Parts: sequence; C-alpha cells; structure tokens
Amino acid sequence: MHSVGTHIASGSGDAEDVRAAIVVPTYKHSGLLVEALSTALAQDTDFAYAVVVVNDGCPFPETGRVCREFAAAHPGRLHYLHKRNAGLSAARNSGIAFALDAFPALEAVYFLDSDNRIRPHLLQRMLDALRAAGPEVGWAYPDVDKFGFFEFCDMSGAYSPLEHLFRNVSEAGSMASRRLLDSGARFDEAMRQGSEDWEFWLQGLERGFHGVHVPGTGFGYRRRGESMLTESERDYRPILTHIQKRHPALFAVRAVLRAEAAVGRRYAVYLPDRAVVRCITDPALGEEDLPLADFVRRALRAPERPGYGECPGLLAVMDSGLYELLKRHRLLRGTLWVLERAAAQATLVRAEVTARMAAGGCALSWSGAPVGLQADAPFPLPDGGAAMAMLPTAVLLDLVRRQPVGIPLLERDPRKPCAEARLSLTLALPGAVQPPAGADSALSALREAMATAWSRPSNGGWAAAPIDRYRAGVATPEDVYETVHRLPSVLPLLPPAGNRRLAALVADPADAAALDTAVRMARWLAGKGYDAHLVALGGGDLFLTVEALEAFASVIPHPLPLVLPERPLTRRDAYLGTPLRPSDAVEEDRAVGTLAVFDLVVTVRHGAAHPLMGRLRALGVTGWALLGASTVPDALSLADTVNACAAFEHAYQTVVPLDARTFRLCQGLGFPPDKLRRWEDATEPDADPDWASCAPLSSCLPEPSAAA
Amino acid sequence: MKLSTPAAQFASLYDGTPKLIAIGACAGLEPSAVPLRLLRLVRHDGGYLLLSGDAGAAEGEALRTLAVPPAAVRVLWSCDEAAGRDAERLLGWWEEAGGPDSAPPQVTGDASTLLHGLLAQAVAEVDALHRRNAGLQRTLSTLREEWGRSARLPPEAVELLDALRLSPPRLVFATPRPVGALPVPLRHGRNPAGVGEIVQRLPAGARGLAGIDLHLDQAPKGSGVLAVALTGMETGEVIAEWTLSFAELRSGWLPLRLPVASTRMDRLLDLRIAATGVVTEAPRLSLAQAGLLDEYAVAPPARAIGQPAMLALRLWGGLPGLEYGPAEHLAPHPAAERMVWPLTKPVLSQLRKGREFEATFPWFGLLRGGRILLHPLHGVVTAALIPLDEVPGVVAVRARAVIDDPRCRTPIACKLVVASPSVTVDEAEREEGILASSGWMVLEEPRRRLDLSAALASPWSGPMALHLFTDIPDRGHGLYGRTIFSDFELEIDSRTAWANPPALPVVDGVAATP
Repeated sequence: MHSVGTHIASGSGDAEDVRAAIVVPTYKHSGLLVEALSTALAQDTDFAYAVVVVNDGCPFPETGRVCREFAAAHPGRLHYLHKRNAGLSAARNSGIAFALDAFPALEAVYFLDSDNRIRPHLLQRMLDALRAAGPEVGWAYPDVDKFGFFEFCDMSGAYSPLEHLFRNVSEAGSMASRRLLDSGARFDEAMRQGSEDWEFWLQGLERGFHGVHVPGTGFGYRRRGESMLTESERDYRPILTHIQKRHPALFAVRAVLRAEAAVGRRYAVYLPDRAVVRCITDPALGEEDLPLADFVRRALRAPERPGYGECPGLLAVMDSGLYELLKRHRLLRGTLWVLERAAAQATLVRAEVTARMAAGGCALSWSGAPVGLQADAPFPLPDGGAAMAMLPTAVLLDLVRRQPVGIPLLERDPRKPCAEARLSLTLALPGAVQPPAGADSALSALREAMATAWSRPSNGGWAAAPIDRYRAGVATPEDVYETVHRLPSVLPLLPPAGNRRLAALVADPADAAALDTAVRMARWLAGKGYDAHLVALGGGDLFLTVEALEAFASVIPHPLPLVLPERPLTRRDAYLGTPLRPSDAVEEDRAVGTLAVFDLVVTVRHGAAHPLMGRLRALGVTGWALLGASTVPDALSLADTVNACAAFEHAYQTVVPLDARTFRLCQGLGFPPDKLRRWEDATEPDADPDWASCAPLSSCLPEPSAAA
Repeated sequence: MKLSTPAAQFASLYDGTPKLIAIGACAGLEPSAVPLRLLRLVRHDGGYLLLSGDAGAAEGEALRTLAVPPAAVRVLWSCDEAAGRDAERLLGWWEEAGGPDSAPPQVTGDASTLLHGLLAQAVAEVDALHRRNAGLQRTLSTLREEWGRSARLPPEAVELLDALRLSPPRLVFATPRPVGALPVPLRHGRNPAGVGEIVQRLPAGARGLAGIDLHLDQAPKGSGVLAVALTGMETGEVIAEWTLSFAELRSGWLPLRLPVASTRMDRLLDLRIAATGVVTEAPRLSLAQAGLLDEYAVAPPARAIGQPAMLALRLWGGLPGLEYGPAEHLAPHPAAERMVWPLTKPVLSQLRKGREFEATFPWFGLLRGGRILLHPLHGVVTAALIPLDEVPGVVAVRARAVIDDPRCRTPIACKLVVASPSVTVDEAEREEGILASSGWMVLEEPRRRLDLSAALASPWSGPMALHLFTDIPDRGHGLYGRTIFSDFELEIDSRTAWANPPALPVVDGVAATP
C-alpha cells in the first residue's frame, strides 16, 4: 500500500481523484491540532484523500496560524476553511458541504476532532468496510481507544439499532458514506452541548441505514478530566430529550419495542420436557427454539463479549404443555408479563398453577406473596411445587460463575425488596389439564447444565482474560426503556401484519358490568380497525364466557396488588371531596408499561386507572374514559366517580358518559363539552335533547384509511 | 452578497497557496512578480465571480457558491476608487461568513503600492516567524527539562507501591491444557516458498505485556529457525520478534519474554508464527479449545476435539517499562527468575468444603471478587480446599486473611496448607506429608489483614491442593468471626517451570537468549 495522497501535487485537477475526506473541525484546540493533522496526513491508503480543516471562528490566533501553515505545507492535500463561530455541528456541516462540492468522486467523509488522533490504517480500513458493505450500511465506526485517562471501549459485534437508542455506539470519529450524506443527514446545529454525533447517526438510522463496526482502526480519543464529553455527560438527560424530540418515530414506545424484537428476544422459556429454550418477545410474532446446549453457550458468552440482545434478559421455566395451553388461549403474553412484573420485586419468581377444565368460559386468578422480605441470608434454589419460574438471566449466570460446584446459594438483589415472589395462578379453561410442578427441578437442571459447561476450562477460563467488557452482558428491558421512557419495561405486544391499531380496554376484573361494557366496546372497536385487548387491572378473579373471550385479541392480567401487599395509606388525597388513593410509584411504572404500547386506552369505569393517563398521553397514547354508574358493592357514587375522573380530565382526549345522567354530571363538573362523546352503539334513546345531540364517539376516531 | 466560482476552481480556493484578490481593472502587475496566485473579483449575473488568473468563466460552466471565505488570501487589492464599493461589499461578506477579524488586509493603489504593502507584510511575517521559532525551541527545551526532572509514575506503579509483592510478572491469561497440535508451515525446505503463517489473536493488549508462553507439542528435527512476531493490528508494526534455532527447541512450554514489560498501547495484538528450514519432523504447536470465544481461534483454522482451536498459550504481564531480570552486571540478558500465578475466579470456583458441618448461618462459600468465606465454628476446625490442575515450578503459595465483621471480639486462627491431591484434609491439618504450610496464624482484630505464606522446600510441578483452615483459639463461639481469605497466588521459579530457557526478542537481527 502507498499513500497516493502524498504524491498529489497542488492544483484543482487533483480534487477529481479524491475518494475520502477527513473533516477536522477545530476550536480552541490549537495546541493539539498539530497532532490531529499530522495523523490525518499520515494515512496509508491506496486511494487519494484530502484533509479539510474547519476553523470554527476560534478566537486563538495560533489556531488560524497552524491551519495556514499546514495548508501551505500540504498544498492540494489539506484545505482550510475559516468560518464564523457557529458550533461543532455547523463546522462539520461546512466541511461536509465543501467536500461534496469540491470532490466529485467522494465516497465518504471521516470526522476527526482536533484533539484526537488516528493510526495510519484507519482511513483505508474504514473505506474498505463501507465498500464491502451493502447499500443499507451508511456509516462505519471504530472501537474507541481513549488516551489521557486510559480506557478502551470495544464496540464490536453486530450493529444494534436498539442499543444505539440508549448508548452512542458510534463515536464522532466514524466515517459517513456518500449515500448517507446524499440522503441529507447533517449535524444538528442547534446541539451545542455535545452528543451531536449520536443524533447524526440516528438520522442515518431513521433514514434506513445501519452502521458497521470496523476493528483495529486505531482511533484514539483524548479523554481529559474536563471536556465537551464530560459536560455532555452531565447534561445527558436534556440532551437525550432533545434527541428524542428530533426523532419521535425512532423513540416511540412501539418503535423501540419493534427494535427490541428485531435484535433479540426478551424471554428465554426453558421447556424441560422438550429440552429446548424457546426465545420470544411477543409470543404472537414468532419463536426461536434453541437446543439447550446452544442456549447455554449463548448465555455464558454474554458477560464476555459485546453482542447486544443475543441472550434474552429474562429466563422462564415451564412445561411445554402449560406453555401451549396459555398460548392457545392467548394468555401466554399476559402470563409472562405478570412474571416479569414480579421479577422486578424479587430475585426469583415461582408460580404454582392450578388448572382445571371448564367448558363455559375462562376463569383466571392471580395472587402472590413475598418471601424473604428484606432478608440478607443466602438461600438455595427451591425444590418445591412450582409449575413456572422466572428470574433474570444475569442472576443465574452470576450463580453459575460464582458457584459452579456444591450447593449454590442465591442472594437477594439489594435493589429488590424480597428474595422470592411466590405466585399462584388458578386457571379454568377448555382443555386444561393440571401441569406438572416441575419448574424448580427444571431450573436446577438448567443451572447444572450451565455450571457443567462453565466448569470446562475452555469456557470458564475466559472470565480471567484481560479483554474489554464495557458493552458485554445480558440485555434487559430496563437498559432501553428506563433510559428512553423512564419505564422499567413495556408489555411486549406488537400489532400483527395488516397495521390494525391496538386498543386496551382497562376494566376491573371484579366489576362484571364493566367487563360486559368492555366486551361490547371491543366488538365495536374491532369494526373500526382496532385489535382490542382486555387489561384486567385490579384484584379479584376474572371470569369471561367463551363469547366474551373471543371479543378480545388477548387478555392481559394486571393483578393489584401482586407480590407486596397494598401499602397502608399514609396520606389521603381528595379532589373536591372525592377520595383518591395515591399510586405506588413502582406499581404505577409497571401499569404505565402495560398500557404504553397501545394506540388507544379506554378506561371502563375504572377510577384507579385515571392517574396513569397523564404519562400515557405524554407517550403518545390516546385516552378515553367510559363513565357510568357501578354496581360493585362499596363503589363510589356516580357523582364521585365522575368527579374522580374530572381530577384527571386533562389527560384524556375523550370522555364517554354511558347515560344521560352521567352526561349531565360531566357537564356540571366542568368537563369541556368538546371532549364529551356519546357512544352511539351503546346508549338508549333519551329524552334529554343535549345528550341526544352530543357528538357521536365514532367522530373522534381516525379515518379508516388513517387507521389502516 | 452572492460570491461564486467555477466548479473546477472551487477546491483550490481553500488550499494553502497564498492568494491575492484583485478587484476592478487593476493593471501593471506581472503575475510572475509575486509568488501569489492571482484571483480576480468580477461582477456576474447580479452577484460576483472569483476567477483564477486571466481565465474567465466558460460559457455554461458549473458554478459553486462560496459559503466560507477562501483560505490564505494575503491581500485584497483595489486599484482605484471605482473598485472601492466592490471591495467594501466583499469585506462585509467576509466578516459575516468568516467571523470577526477574518478578512485579509486591503490595499488601494497601483502595483507599486501593492508591492510595497506585500513587502511590509512579508518582512513582518519573517520577523514573527523568527520569534515563534525561538519560542518553540524554548517550549521544547522546557518540556524536555521538565520530563527529565520529574519522576512520572504510571498508575500501575502506584499499585506496585501499594503491594510490593505484586512486582514479579504475573500470569494474566492461560488457555486450558493442550489437546491437539498444529504443524508450523515451513517457508523453505521441502515446501515451496510463500506458504502462510500461523496467526493467533491475543486476548490482551500490549501495555504491560511481559511474556508469552507457547507450547511445543513436538520439537522439530532438522535445521532451521522458528520465527515468532508480535504485531500490533492498529499500526501494523512488529512489536517484538523472536527467532529460535531448531536445535535449541525442546517439546513443552516455550517462554518468549520481552526485556521489559511493554509500554506500548496497542489494543489488538497478533502473534505470527512461521518456520524456515529443512526438517524431517516439522515443529508442531499445541492447541487448546477456544471454547466460548471462538473469535480467538487460530488461523488457519484448526480443531481440537471437535471444537475451534487456538494456540495453547499463557500471557504474562507486569508494570510497563519495568525490567524483571537481575541487574545487567549479574546476567547478560534480563529475564525474571520469579513469576506470579494468581488464582483467578474460574480456578477459585472449584472451591469445596473440606469438612461438612451444619450451621444456622452461612459459614462457607465463594463470594464476589474471588473471596472465600470460612467462618470458624464452635468446637471444630473448619476446612476448605481448592484443587489446582498442573502448575509448574511452584515455590510458594500466598493468600490474605481478614475478619470481615467489625463486631468480632474473638481472635481467629487461620492456616494455609499446600499438599499433593492425595493428602487428606485431616493429614493436611496435622501437616503430615504436605508440601508447605503457613502454620497457624492468629487474626487478633477485625479488618486487619494478615498475609499467609507457605514456602515449599523445592519447586513443585504437577497438580496440588490448597487447604484452608479456621479455628477459635479460646474455644469460644467465635461470634461474628466472619473470616475471609483472598488474593491467592502462586510464586513460580522460572528456571524449573519451563523446558526451554526464556527467549528474548531479536535485537538488530541477532537472536538473544539468556
């Protein structure tokens, strides 16, 4: 290889040959600029390249002097642009615009900040990688070898669009392809606090491009005690908020969930009777069966090497018969979600299942209790009568790696209140048979298989290798949803093909009349282009007839309380005299996570759901409240029911009184008339002329074409 | 103001060539009279064009609009008052696009005025260059003086000061035991020239690398040399190169050493191995299973018991820049006499109880960070043992013990015993037929660490077991006597640990061995 660049003579004709440009923005780095430019000019390439230095109006005169001297010393190879100060993004954009105008054969632009440096093969290896990649690859990114304060960030592994939403895997010292630049991607000039590179690559992602990692480039990032990066890290939250606002389509809950399902799976369900591990996110959208040995290898690799999402973060165990039963009755997603909820409260979740055959419908009941509340004593893996179990994959991995021999002892995660969540599920379903209570022994067998594999020196020995593990580990929902949406997780529910919209009907399982209303609403919405799911939010047993069950795309139980008993009230809130129960923050997070994936959330006479709606609205969810009198004993009076909703009216787009009396109360308690709608399929004719002339509910639905 | 230039001239406006922009009908200046590229500003289509020399814009030629002022413009020359307005507009645009004080100086007048101005500018710049050069020399001198005057301790040296016993080179990585072999390709001899080489990516960076052990499954028979090169992937540079005569090679572990632990920062290292010569039996390097991380498999690909394989190797690390051998007047070439083999978590995870007891509280286990809990129990001596696979040339075993619970008011006795695997726990406690023992040591108070050391009478190679014991000297209950053992390491005598003498890199083309 030779450097064609060094042989370029001065003159505009040489610009025709340039294939790559190194854009070096500079501002107040005059002392370090020489180092950056020297490494930029020392690239060993088999193509012609140019260096474009953009002086971003630096007030230090020596910056301009260094630039001029380098330009004079390297005519035709180094181009100098001096512009009015407008920030790093604007400087890079000026460099891009110049390179696109000046070099007609340009294939890519590499961004080198003026305090960093690069090894001599970087440009060649980066461009080779872009040339070898398919059209979907828009940029190439390196490992980040930090000097000053030494640190190495291994960015290897397949590019993960999901990981890129919460962690900037592509440093600014990356190379943008011509196709990415031609698509219009430019640095956001409003971003002057840093992380503008992250936003730039996300533009690429939004335009359908991916990145590709290039190993061994020798990109050196100067890490100082104070820098733009450290300032950016301090301002992380407002910067992330800005980026999210710039890319609502990327950061929408559904889009993130889709990315999660695309790069990996959330649940690994070990089916011991089939000796496979079934990896799923949304059970309705595909399963991946791994032989046990393959899963063990994948899991053991996770803490050693980057590969975001290759190993599911939550591990469940159940018999395949129970799995199929739940799946057949569209209860699997909800069941896994309940287990995941409980896993947020305990190191280990175990569930006993009582199943019996029922011909006339479906009965479902969850209950739970904590074990080892705030206990610190280690405890062995249980050997009891659970039919299902769940724990974070990382917990089992830690157990295997620390204690591959002998009787392993689990420890309570100090971030969680209890050691174990003991659940009980009672099912009455057509075709149900009692599942075997083999989850505990299956979990032990799985641990044993992992421990045996880990004990082989060719596997376990890698734990001592001095390799970078910055991005290694098991992917968990918290990684992304906590960062992006401030939620621990969201219900893994994606719309099936056909682009039907998703609606959640939130009803209390103890309120039979509300369930009946929910069934009728589900059927009505089905005709309007929605898949309606029942979210049974509250305590008590859920019973649905076969006909009612068929009205719903699935049933999502959200039992309250689940593991921990309901906290005693320490304070009472009231809105204009109507008592309101304050929400527990953890439970509220989980409930919002249950509903955040829907386009439309309809609360069916459900006062406890009102406080969730503000956060859901901020996440782009449309909210409707169905209001009417309840027949449940000890329920609030109708006026209090309406008044309780009035406290949260702002969070709802539409309020649907179910009768004229409720309508009048809504008006009386100050609901904006424009928000009130009459559900035309559900109300009897009434003599109240205002109620009769209330706008129909269907008028606030999107047009069918938009819904589709 | 809109300023454009022909597309073919666009890039050259931003190169480092000094330029002069002439505004208006300037005459009397021979282009060869000044070493500047002459640009002319002319009105064009409601805006302005910047043209190079006498060339005009060809009909239909593509134009590029300038968003940023041209680089290295030494002067704006307007030769008459008529051009003044254009010059003012150009200067206004320049300030706007290039920022304050970015515009070049302006000269108004005939050619001799321009030359006079340029001459004054050149003289001033030469003067400034002289001053800057003097300043640069002084800066470099200060820097050299400062580096020479102050000691610069790398972070690892701080660690060294903190624990002086860490000073010998330490094992940082070891593959599992060899289970296969790969012949080293011969570049000459019976095979045609140009055959490939073996490439092994190392799971460690260069900083602090002190040595590499390769395992020779079979020493070559014939004449020639084995060449091993350590290269940095980012730079493509050879960091060290060893050439070993076939006659010197024996089967077994081959220690390749660096004269000082590396100070380089290369993150990705490749070991490239080839042989040159005529043989009846080619050298064969041993293979181990790559296991979980087959990205570290050897190239060309090979398999070991059905799995992707890597070269059997051990990596040794130390403090960057530190020489580990005896002083130069004692030995011709430096090579460490003692090496340290720390027991890593995968090894410690094989920990087991030496005796079974029942207690109502956790008294035994492997905790995070490779720490071993062995709580003493009333009326018995608690015991644990760590089985070790084959280790070479062990001369001492060390560990640390501490009472972890500040509430403890009872002294706790602890002991470290080294024995062959056939020695029972009871025999080890009685120190019958053992290799070494620290003897009973007493932890008098919580949180005060105690070093345990068991020195062997002679170097031991082969499998062994480390026994740990705790006891309560006052026969009490040992309340809160939560005793933790940690920092396990073996000391190795490098003279007996390897079948081959340590090899040092080629210096100036000459292979060196101590």
